[in-house]
Amino acid sequence: MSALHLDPVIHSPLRLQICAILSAADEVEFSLVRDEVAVSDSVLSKHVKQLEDAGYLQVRKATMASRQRTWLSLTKTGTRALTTYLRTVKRLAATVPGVGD
Amino acid sequence: MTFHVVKSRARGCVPVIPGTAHSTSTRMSDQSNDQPSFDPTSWSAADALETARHARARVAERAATPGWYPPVYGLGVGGMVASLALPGALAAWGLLLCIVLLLGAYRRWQRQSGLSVSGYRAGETRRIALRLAVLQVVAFTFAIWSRLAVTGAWSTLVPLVGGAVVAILAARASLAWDRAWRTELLDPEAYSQAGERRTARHEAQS
Repeated sequence: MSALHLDPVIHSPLRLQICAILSAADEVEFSLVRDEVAVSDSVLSKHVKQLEDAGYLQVRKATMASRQRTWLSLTKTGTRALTTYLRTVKRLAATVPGVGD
Repeated sequence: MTFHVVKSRARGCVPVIPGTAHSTSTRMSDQSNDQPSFDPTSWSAADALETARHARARVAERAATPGWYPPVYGLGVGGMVASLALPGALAAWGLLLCIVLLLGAYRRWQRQSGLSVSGYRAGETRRIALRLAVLQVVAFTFAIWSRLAVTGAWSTLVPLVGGAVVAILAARASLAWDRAWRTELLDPEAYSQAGERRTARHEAQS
């Protein structure tokens, strides 16, 4: 029996959104991600930490225009995990007519 | 075909086993999720795909390149070629000014958008960036050659005309790059293909 595996780190609506946003660019500012997923700084930080611990995400702090900014980016492992996750979910959705088209 | 999705911490993943029918849909449970508004019973494969699509689409909307960027970019890139028309050390200063202009424009966009993107990112965007880079190298070489080998007004005219042509093409390339990037963000297939390429490359490297 073959089994499809879904990564539990990405398998959460919020973390999936974070990963999808980060996959759109090389680096995304923390505040943009926070605004897009509509959560507080602390909630986002918690999820960022989980992704960071899994090796999926990298955090970089940089000063820009005399303001400290936090930049987030997907690591190679994170990109690979997201691609695999989406591929699996797509295969799963494709088995139900009219879903995932 | 039906699926049963079971959380398995021991294996570090969530096995989805075809054929073990406990559900009539592709619902996936995720008890570990701690997002307040999350309802585990409503999180399906289709939801996951839509979530990813919408997240990227929102970034595409937000990352609209401002109207001033393509002309400024064209001016910077074309100016690098045209600066060779300047006499002596002024050419080096002109070149430096153009580099500062390009970096400044990019930093400003970065600050406004909250995004950082490499011009040479995989996909159609890389092809556009590479074509522009080749054009610029050719124009630059031609301009240097004209300064060294051509005498009279032509030695100044060639870098100026070359710079003007490169400026127009660079501004157009900037618009085309932006369009290609957005298309990729909005098109899940394009993303999926880029992701597959990246994954294949990573696997080949490791």
